[in-house]
Amino acid sequence: MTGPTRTHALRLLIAWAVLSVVGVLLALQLRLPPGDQSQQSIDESGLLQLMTVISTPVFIGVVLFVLYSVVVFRQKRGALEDGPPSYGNFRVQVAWVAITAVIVLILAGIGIGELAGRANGTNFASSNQPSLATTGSVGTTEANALQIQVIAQQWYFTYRYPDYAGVESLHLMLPVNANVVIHVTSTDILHSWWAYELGVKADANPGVDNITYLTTLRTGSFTVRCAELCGIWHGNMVDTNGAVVSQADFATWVADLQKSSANVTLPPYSQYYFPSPRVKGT
Amino acid sequence: MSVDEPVPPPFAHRGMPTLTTRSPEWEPEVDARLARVGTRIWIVADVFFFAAWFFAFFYLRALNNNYDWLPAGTTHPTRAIGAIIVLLAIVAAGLYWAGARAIVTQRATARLFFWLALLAGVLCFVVQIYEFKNLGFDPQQGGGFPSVFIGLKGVWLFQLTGAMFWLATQIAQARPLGDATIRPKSVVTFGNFMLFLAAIALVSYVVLYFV
Amino acid sequence: MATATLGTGGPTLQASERQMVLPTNLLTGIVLAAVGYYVGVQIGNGFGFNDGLNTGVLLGYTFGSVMFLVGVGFANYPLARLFGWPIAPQSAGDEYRGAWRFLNLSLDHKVIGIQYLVAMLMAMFFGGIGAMLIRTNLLSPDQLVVPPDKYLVLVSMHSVMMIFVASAAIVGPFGNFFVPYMIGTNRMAFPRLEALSFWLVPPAIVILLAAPLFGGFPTGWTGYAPLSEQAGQGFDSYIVGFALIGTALCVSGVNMLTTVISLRAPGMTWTRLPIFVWGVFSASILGTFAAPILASAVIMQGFDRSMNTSFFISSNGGSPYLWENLFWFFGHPEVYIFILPAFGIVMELIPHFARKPLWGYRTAVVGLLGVTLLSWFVWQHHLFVSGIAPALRPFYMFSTEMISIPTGIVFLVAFGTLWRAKISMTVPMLFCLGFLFNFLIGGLSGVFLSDVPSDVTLHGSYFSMAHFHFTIVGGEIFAIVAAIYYWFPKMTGRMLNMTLGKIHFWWMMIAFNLAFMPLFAAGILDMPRRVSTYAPSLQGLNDWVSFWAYLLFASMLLFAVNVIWSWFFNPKVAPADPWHVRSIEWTLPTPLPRRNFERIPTFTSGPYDYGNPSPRPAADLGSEPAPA
Repeated sequence: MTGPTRTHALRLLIAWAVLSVVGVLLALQLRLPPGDQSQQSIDESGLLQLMTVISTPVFIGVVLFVLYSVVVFRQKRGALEDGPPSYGNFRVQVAWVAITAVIVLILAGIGIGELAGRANGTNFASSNQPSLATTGSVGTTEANALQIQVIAQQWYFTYRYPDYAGVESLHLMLPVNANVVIHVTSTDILHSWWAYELGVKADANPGVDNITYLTTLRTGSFTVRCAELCGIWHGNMVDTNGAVVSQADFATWVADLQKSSANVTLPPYSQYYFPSPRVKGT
Repeated sequence: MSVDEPVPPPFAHRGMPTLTTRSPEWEPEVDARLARVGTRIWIVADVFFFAAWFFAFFYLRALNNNYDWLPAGTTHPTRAIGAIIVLLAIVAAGLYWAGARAIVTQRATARLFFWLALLAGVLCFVVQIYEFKNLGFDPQQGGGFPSVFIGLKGVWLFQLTGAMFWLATQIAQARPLGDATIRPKSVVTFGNFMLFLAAIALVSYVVLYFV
Repeated sequence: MATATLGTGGPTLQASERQMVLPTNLLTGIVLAAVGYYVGVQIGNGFGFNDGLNTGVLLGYTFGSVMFLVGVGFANYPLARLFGWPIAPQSAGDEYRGAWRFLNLSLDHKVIGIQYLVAMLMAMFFGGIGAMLIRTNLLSPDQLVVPPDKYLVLVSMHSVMMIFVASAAIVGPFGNFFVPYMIGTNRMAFPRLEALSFWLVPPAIVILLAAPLFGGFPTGWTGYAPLSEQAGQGFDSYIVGFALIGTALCVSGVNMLTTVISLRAPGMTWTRLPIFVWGVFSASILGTFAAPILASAVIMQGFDRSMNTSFFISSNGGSPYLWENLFWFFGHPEVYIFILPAFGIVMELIPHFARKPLWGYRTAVVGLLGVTLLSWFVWQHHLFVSGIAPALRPFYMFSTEMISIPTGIVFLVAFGTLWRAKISMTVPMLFCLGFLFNFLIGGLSGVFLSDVPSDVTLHGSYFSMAHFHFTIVGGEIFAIVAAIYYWFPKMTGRMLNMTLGKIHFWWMMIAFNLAFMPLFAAGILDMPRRVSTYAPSLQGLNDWVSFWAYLLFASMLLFAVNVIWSWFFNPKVAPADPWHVRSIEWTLPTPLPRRNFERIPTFTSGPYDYGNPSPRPAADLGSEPAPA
């Protein structure tokens, strides 16, 4: 490197290092949503923060470089000089591609690692079919997870508890410290079930059993929204009355629910539902 | 200059400036090269177009939603009619292909082949319409297969109609001083598209009647 | 020479193409479009299908569009062929003079470029009004200015209109106008297809604007299937509009690819191609091959709605997933159709205003082609939570993150070019630097969305909405504005006012960032997209956004004033080379002669050879000066 190039590069490098350290330290102070109500939200908050931390030096680097160049490498007023004819530096290009590739690999590795963990809502093994159990048991182990069916329709969600004779509720009540398997389906058009504080989101499709997983960690209420455009009242498809409660409270609640729905005739439980076939040609 | 130089169009228009010099970028050779490259690109684009329909076929068949891929009472259409349609499409493409190669040396033969190709294409169209009218099932009664069958054959038929129109213009221009005579290589290029359509017909025949 | 059919005027209409039975011009087109629409509706309603009304509207729009094209003059060439009339390769002279020429069919790529530019700016204005109405409605979480159904119509109109604009607003105006100059040719490969690609746009826009007359459609630009089957006749606008735009993208791509492949002047090797041409070329690859998928998909929608097939009806053996797959298989290449030519503009302009060669030219080309290739393998990242093939999510996550490698190359090339350069802070350069900043934010937020677990929270929220506005508005629109400031003198012969331009830049840059940056927060704070009501706690944030959105719109109005005033009321003709750059279009006189080059140039070096100790000519235009 020649003299002036080295000076410029050194200045930039030092400024970038200092600002990046400050930026990363600030980014580490962030507490990003969705929070800590479930294992999933903890993972997502952590991941969002990690991304912010990784992005900060990149952002600072680009902005710093452009600002520095614009301030220092200016054309003199009224002059029309050419810059040095440099057509590229092979080593720099290879290094740049290699660095971005390494960052990408790290990010992909983290993401795939999180996905492979069963708690994060993949169904690599989608064997968790809801079997209509008649005796209730709150799943505290993975093998014995609590099954919930979310039925979306215009414009609300209904929750069925197949482990408890398939009783229905309009608000989702979950026991704390439980592994939950959520089966999302729809009876009309596409919706998306988004329990914000719990960090789960899954599209509701007619005729599809879309499975996602959840491990509750802390009691408290949560908000459920629809995250897929579903017609006029899409924005109003909100339920703020979902709650994670203690195991004892959940047992009481579900017993009450079973008692009160003893005389209610519910449609037969099914893994998924189809809208009534369109009557055609009539 | 050869005698095949194009004559001025007979429909002169008011205010039309006098034409003076020749511009090299509009030579027939340039047009032939562009037609060759452009037709290849167009065919690849059309592959993507039909790929969507074949994707729909296999996707819906694999899903078999509500067990309604092949609704009760729906049978595959008669294979013989499908075979006739494919054969006519192949014959049309083959005749055109043969005619296009003869257009420089034997224009009369080429025109005859073109006419026969057009006849085959129109027959293909008629047989396809006949098949639509006598399907034995109705897409309005639901079912994935009937939908894909109507859809795939419908868009193919639409493209065949366009191709037949272009074929008719080639016949009209395959005369002394006609465009097809001046730019014979562009005529040959269009044959590639005819062959492509015939190939799609063949593939859809296998898929729609045998799978 | 036996005849005088061949002329000097560039690719223009010949006599038999101008007048068949009727004189073909814009007015004939409009009249025939109305007739076609009426006939289509009558035929459709007479077919006797259960919901013949959809059939009627669909056929009406289709017939109307086709008859419009016939009236404008597109049937004349095929019919002249069919009647066996002589087809001369070209003739000289244009039918019409003055402004009327720009309102009618022309096969001159310069005229088509101007037509595209005006049409796109007008469509952008319509879409912008939609955005303003949306922001007005979101001033309050529950006090609605328009009812929720009308709100969804607004959202859908804004989105589809802006998608139309974004997919054609660079390749259309600037690609058509400047690619022939940059590669050194007097013609486009298929001038009629090029003209067709433009004339499909006005019917598409009119049909889209007609949607509210039929109740509009509530689906947004994604048109997800069961909701679309529920929608009324307004959704037929979506189907026909997108079919027309898809056809336009495809034919424009066929023309552009063939032109660049086959018509490069001597010496214009692939490694000397200006980077803007590479951007247009790679976007054309995507447009040509992705748009047919869209065409197929909307035809399926049309069949479902008119013939009662069941492609997307799950109870009848169809699947909404089919639409999601087909739509996004088109839709993700589509967003690179937006941004690749924008990369091209930025990488083209930065060397000129830094007065340094484009640093790492070959790497830049590899980057553009890498994005082109990878964009085919990422579409399911729009469907991470949809339940389609969850086991494939790691693959799509990885391929999506891979795209940041070629995208990073664009930044590297910009860095290398700025390094120790002689930067002039002209208005186009300001917008290019603004592009770098905005697209950086857009790109980094894309990484947040690419990772499946974080996407679970961010998907379908205002975060993703802010992400794509940063890439499309902050990226593509900034690049378009840079291109307008840069090329306007060559296209129209008038300079834009650069003082107003500088005000415009700072105003737009600040308003844009202050309007869209908070939307990332809104998304992380639990606000889904396309809602007409939202949590009351977010009202302050939304009011802030609306305020700056109004100012952003106002900055575009300032730009419009600048364009209109400079174009029509400024008598001063721009100098031939106001920027003193090496690119070949600036070596030609202003206003541009009808025929691009009197002699086809021979290129002896690349377009960015600044600072070369022994400067070589960018193109050998011959000893005789081109006529004014």
